[in-house]
Amino acid sequence: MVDKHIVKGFDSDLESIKNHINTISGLVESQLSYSYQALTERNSDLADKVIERDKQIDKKYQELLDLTVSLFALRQPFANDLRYLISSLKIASDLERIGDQTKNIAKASRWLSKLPQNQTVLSIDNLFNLINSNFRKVGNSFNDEDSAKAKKIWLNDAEINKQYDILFRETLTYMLEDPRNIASCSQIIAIAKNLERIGDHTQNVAEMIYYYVTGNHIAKKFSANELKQYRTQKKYKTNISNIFKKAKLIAKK
Amino acid sequence: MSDDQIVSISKFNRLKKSTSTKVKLVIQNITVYYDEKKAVDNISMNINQNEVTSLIGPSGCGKSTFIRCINRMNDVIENCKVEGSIFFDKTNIYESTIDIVKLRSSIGMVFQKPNPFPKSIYDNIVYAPKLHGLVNSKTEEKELVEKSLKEAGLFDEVKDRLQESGTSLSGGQQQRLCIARAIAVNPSVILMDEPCSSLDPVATAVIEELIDELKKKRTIIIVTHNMQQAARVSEKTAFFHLGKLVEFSDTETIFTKPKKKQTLGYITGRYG
Repeated sequence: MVDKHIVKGFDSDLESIKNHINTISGLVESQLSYSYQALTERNSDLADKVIERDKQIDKKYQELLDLTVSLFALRQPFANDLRYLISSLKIASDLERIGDQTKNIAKASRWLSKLPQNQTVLSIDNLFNLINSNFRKVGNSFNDEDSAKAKKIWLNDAEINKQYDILFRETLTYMLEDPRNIASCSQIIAIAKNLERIGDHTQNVAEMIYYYVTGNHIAKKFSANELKQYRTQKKYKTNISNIFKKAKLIAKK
Repeated sequence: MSDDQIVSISKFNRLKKSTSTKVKLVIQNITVYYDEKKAVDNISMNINQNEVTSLIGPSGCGKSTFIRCINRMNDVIENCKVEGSIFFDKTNIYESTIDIVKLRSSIGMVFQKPNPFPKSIYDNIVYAPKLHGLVNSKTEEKELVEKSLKEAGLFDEVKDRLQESGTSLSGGQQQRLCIARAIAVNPSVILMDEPCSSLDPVATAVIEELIDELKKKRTIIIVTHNMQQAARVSEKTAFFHLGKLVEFSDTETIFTKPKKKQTLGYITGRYG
């Protein structure tokens, strides 16, 4: 919002909302990094810290909820101010859910750290880096009120799905090769699913940023071709039934 | 869930939308001068039948001057000159052959400060109809008083004291009496110039509910400083600034996604 309100209190209230979102976003970003670090280092102490720290995110989210309700009651906002408040609520809700996903990753990594050895899954690094990069970009897009950036982040979710698919096939391969890998790989798949959900929530945040800035719904602003391409890229390519057929054949041998 | 519950939910979800296809007033190129000063600058708009249109804008932007053009109340102001046309049911009210008294019974007006006559409640209602020859007997008078007061939502509160003075009522009741008085001559359009600005919140809510009922049979134009009120009561909203019509659109559009930056600045309190 470029222009200031005549009543300065309104601007400082909105700034307060922005600060809360940034605080939650900062907490979530660090949780994401720590949870992945806990996984790669097999560090159960760090995993415990991530799990404990999730309460801070929940607390901040509740504060934001109360603040937003007050603003609705006391300021009766219109137009872009109204969209900003509603979008902020939804963004905070998605950030809180991302926080929950990082807690789940930490729990899974704590379990994995107890196994004597985990199978290295190469493609999880790619998936994490993509998720992490998207999340940082969406934070910048929120602060810069950049709808063009938000649109790119939204579309990038297709790439995340693609990476998840690659990881899924990779881990299935390891499980089929050696049943001793099943325990760790199944947890890796669960972690990858959490990461993929983080990607979905990041996409939701991008959608809300676009809506707040432009007043339009993002899906309506793509051409039919762009949407078709996005949906094709987003589709999972792994054919589960084929894999199980192959697995049966291997087992028979 | 019963059918009644489903119907009541669907009613709750339905937003106030402009659906009227009939135009009651066609306003073309209205410009108003006070001596040499231009107070209203070339306004053109259509007012839909059986809808509420609100006029919003900062003080001195020409809303009240403009609304007074619609029933030619500006004629009584000596140094006021009006140019342009207003077609009311396809007749230009600024033609020299127009009966202004009859016009003002067809386009009624309610003012900011309730102004009942210093007469009984009963006489407040029947005064104008008697003058216009709309009632010819006591029975007709009584029926008209009851009908008008019922339509204004005041009958139950005053039915046992119709001979009491109109000025003995509370502010909200007085304003409803003024609305009943306006309704008594059966206008098809009612102009309201900040009708709730001197009323408490409860009385305001009663008037707003009344407006919602009145528009079923009449067309309402309301000037208001209260943007939340404009958002609550009207289907269409016009934003005025420095005598010009900046934006005129569905109320929902004006208050969620206005097209003009000036409108956005005003409704979000970024400038006055």
